Amino acid sequence: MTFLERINSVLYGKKPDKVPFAPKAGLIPRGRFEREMRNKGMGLYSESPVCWHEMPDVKTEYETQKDTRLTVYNTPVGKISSGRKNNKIRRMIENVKDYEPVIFMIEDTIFHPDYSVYLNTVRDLGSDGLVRASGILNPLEEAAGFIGVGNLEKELERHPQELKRLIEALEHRTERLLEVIINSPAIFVSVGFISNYYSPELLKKYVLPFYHEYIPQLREEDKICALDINTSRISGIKEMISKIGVDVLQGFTPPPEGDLSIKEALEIDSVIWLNLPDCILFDDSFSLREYIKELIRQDKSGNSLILGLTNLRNIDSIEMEETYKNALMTIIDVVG
Amino acid sequence: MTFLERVKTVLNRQKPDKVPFAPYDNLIPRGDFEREMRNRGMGLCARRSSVGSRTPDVWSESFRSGDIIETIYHTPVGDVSTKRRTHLGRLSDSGSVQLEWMIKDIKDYETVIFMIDNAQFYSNDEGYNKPLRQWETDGIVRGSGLTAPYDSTEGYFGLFKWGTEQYDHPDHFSRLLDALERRAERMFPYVADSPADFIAFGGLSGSYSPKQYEKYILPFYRKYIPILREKGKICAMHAHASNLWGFRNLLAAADIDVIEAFTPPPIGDLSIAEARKAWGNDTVIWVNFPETVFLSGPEATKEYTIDLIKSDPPGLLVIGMTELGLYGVADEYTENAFKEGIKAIMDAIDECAF
Repeated sequence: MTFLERINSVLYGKKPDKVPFAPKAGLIPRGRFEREMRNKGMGLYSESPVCWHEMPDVKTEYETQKDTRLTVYNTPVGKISSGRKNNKIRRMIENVKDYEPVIFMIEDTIFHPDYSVYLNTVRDLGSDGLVRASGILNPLEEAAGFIGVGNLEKELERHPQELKRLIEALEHRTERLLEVIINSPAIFVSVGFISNYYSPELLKKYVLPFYHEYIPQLREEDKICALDINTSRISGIKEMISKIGVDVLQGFTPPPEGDLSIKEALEIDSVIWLNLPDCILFDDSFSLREYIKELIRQDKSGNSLILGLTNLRNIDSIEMEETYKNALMTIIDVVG
Repeated sequence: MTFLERVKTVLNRQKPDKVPFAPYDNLIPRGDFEREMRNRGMGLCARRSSVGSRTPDVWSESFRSGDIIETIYHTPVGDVSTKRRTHLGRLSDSGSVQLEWMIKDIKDYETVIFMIDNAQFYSNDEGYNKPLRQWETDGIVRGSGLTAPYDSTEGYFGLFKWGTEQYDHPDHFSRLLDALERRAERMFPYVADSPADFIAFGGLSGSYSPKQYEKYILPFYRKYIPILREKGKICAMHAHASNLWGFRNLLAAADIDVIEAFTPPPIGDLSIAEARKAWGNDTVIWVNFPETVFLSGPEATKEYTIDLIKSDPPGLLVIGMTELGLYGVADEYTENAFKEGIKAIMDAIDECAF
């Protein structure tokens, strides 16, 4: 099997010849070693947009100075900014008056389908990689991006009406984006990410209905939906994730960094695409070989697991580069 | 020989086991085809800089309107701006083209000269060393060098205005050129002391006459090349002009180690044999393979490549792709033509092994 045939087997519920190993392309720099890894069966996972967007009535400025990297949005209903000013993080919504311009921007967003980047990437990678199309984001996580993760629950108490309008605007925008994604040639698409910052109640109220509305529409068009797990602490929201009903859980970090075992994760009716924990790659005290063997053993069906790397600590020394290479070689050797 | 040994052998003016095939890395993106070619011996040329720059007293802001991005540069002596159209596909790595350049009016000179004089340089050795470690024997990493100040001037006007401005405002143009000379002098020590032994050094676009080349460009090479050679650097000029015939003797006078992006007929007007005759047996000719040949089919491509290799008995040749590569693929037909063409180049190289 080629890498693409192998990973597609898993995505379509069939048994591959061996467990696919598919790190994010950006984490595997090009060179002799990377070529050898691909010769041994490693594939690359890449993300690509299927559209670009504009906000015709918003003037965007990028301010770059010494300690400032700020994006300033000028809208007819007010000015907002985000980024870093004098080395302090600046969120788009820092004050109740900021809601209006943010909602204006969301409503002003026009999506222009452009499949060229996606198609070029698919053509380039050929059977050596899989391309995921950037897709929709759930409104709770997106709103948190505007407000700041730590402030979301407070905002729900302080400004519930404004937050409700923001979430509604985001949902309307998602409907416009969804059309572009559905019409795109992409099969494997992202449906955003989920974190453990919010209570199961909040997820139940805002996240679950969102996915229950959109995932069936994408599935109807034969899309395979992947949800990123942006946290290693998911045991408390396992039930919620299970109810979302997504095809692939991507970036799932197993113990010792994650708090949910691979066995428990496999109880969720999704393909589990692992983010192998940094500590098992870089810490000599772990037997990487045994660890990978055990992970593979846990998947009794033999068609629900993809080994991957989606997050990686900064590799800032030659020693770390060597350790990383040795770890990758061990993984591919164990996979067979 | 590994690819790296092969290409280094040529750069050191010795005959390798066979002609190295070394397209730019961005022009042959990662994938199954690229891996197959690399397994067969193709290597890639990665251009990475070990010199960083900053302009501490300049700050910029950008405005997006549809697919147009306008960038305004603010300086204490005034503002200048540029415009780019984006989302244009694989025309370039950025998928964009420039629509407006910094100098639109005579008053813009002062601001641009301020920006040039404000540029500071610093060493960024890891920007070169890290890719070197990553590529290992599969690629050659080329460091960045200087661009001739006269060539740099075009980037502030766009080709048309650049042509007229030299005659409309010669004094201002001359001041701009002086500022770029000063910048080159400030940057040069960082290039000379960089860890890169193989570096880019200037180019030739063919948008001006040999007379201008002699006046503005030749002194640049005569000033810097001897110092770089003393430092053990191998310098490559990016001569992608298709009208090199008129420049051939001047290029010999530049006395550069590698003439790169050299595009032979049917696109360029100078053949390998003619170039070798003009430049002698000590210059490496790094060919930009004319992809249009692919459209004649793999057999014709193979024959063309064999002729190319046989036309250079000294064998100081590298075959590369410096302008288009797989960026020329637009559909199934061109994909097939380009991939079969690249395979044919490799077949020819193997057949002509020394």
